[in-house]
Amino acid sequence: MLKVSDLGSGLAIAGLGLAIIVQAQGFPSVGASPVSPAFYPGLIGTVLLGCGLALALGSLLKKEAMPLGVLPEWLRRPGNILAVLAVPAAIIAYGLLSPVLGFLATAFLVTLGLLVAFRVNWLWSLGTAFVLSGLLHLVFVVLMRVPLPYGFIEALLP
Amino acid sequence: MNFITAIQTVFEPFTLTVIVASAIFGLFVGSMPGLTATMAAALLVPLTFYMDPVPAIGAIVTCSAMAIFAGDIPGALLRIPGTPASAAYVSEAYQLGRKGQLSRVLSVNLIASAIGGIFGTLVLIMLAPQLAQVALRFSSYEYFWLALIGLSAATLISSSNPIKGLTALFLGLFLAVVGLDVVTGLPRYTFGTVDLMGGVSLIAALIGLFAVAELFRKAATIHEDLPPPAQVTGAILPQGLSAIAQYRWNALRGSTIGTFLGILPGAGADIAGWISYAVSKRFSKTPEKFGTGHIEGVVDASASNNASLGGAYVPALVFGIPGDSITAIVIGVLLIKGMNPGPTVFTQSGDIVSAIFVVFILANLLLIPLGLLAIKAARHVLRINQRMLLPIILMFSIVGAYAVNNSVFDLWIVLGLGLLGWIMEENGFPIAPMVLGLVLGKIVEESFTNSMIKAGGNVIAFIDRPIAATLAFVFFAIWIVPFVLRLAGRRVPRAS
Repeated sequence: MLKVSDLGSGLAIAGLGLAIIVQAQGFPSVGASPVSPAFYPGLIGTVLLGCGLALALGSLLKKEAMPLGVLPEWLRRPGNILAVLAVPAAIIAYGLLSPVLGFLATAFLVTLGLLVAFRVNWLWSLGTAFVLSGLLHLVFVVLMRVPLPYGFIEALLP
Repeated sequence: MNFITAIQTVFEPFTLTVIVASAIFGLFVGSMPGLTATMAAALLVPLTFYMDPVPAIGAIVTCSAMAIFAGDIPGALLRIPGTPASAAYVSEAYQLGRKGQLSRVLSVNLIASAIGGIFGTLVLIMLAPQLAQVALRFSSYEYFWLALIGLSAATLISSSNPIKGLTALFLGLFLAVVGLDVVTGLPRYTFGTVDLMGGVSLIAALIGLFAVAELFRKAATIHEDLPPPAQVTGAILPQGLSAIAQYRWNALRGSTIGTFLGILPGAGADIAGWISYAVSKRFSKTPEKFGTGHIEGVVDASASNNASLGGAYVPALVFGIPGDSITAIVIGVLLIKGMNPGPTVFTQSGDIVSAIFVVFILANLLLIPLGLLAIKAARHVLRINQRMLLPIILMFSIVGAYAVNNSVFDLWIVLGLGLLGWIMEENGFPIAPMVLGLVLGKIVEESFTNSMIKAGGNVIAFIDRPIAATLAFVFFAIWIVPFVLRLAGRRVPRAS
């Protein structure tokens, strides 16, 4: 993934800490409780702000040669780019498609897409996607009785 | 504690099936280069969600013990550690293999792992109930300090940069704040999203941080297949037994160091392996042979990393403070099951604790026969194409995370935290403290708020009791002493 210098990551963390503190100011105090709901998150935000500033300051004092961020090695290899992008694409595709197509069809399509993106040949990809979606159905739906999304393929099953 | 009842519970057909299946799963994941024991445990969590506590915890205990041993297999065959816990002696094991002693080194790995695992378990069985008796006298003030000490130790040990460790811990504590406030019922950091009212789903977070982050990392480096591994031939066990007999004190020393490091919050099997190997070399009569294919350090370190697993359950069960990332997952599972890890678990759920002890012994006994099979099958298992394996693991992660709440939103948590975990690790921020923060965050806030309410807002009450004051002193010392030592270290050269 992206390599970020301590200056870059420190500033991002300090920003998050500050945002947590600012948001906590909006929490109303409740009755006689000696601890406001804002106290604990405020404390967390303060520590994150402090850590972020310490990292950024440390980087400046060390005169870190690295720029704010450098592009990683894998971005130079198209096969790896495709494999890395396939991971979030599969999660998003499952989330969006499974309520529409049902579990079996989605699992088959997402597995097939993943395998092809990982450069497995089509025949193996088709066979593995078929077996894996059936196996997942067996484990989660049949054995553990989890009601996974119902779709047109499930409607055909006995 | 009734061990007969515990044995009956563990030997129920369903529990036994779960244990054997988890053992095979652990051996498989552990022997695949780059896939960790923690990842194996995280992948099991959605399945354990639907089980009773004993098979659920039994699955994780067995799977992790098997995975830590199995990590040694590709180390000896390919010079690639299966899990980070085997990294310390991977070069030594590979050199032994090249000298034609492959069966000997794998056999030593197996037997020493079982010895270490059983040693750690015996310490757990003897120490945990005694400590729990003491811990029962603790009030919320002592618990508050104890939780802070545990989190601090975990943070400082797990990262070479304490500020990055602290950042990771507080990111985890922040994630635990998201959702309805336990005292006031006020939504915090939910941004109006109903799905976040119940907080960040722990299972989704575990899968994201431990499984998907690792898959991202593997996907970024997957460009060449593994070389073909060598074949293990001949009788395996006898060769290892003679080496273990020769270095029996090393096995005992490795087991002792591993158990102690396991008990220490934050130091898990990885650190145990490194330290035991270093200690073995330091006290060896032939330190010059280390690194050239010498079995001595392998005995120490193989025993040590498995011993740490049992040790890590001591603080987890007694105080509810995880000793390593696997016990952080176990605490999460116990909380999901409605059990509160801590000394009361020994009085309220004594049978379950006894059953966990029995599972530990059984897992380490099963390690020998199943480990032998794994060694025999290693050549074929290591030929499995990683390009096919990673998509399969990802599909299990996705469906597992989704199945727990049937929630698409949980998938976005998996993705978000998977990406965050990947970025963090690549930039030197450790993941383990973040998970500890996420698991313990609510407990820390609750014990702090309850203590404050009890004390009427008077913070002096936190150090009013002698034990609480001592623990507070230890907590501040943990943070201040390293910085003082570092400053002193900087000044000494200047003065001279």
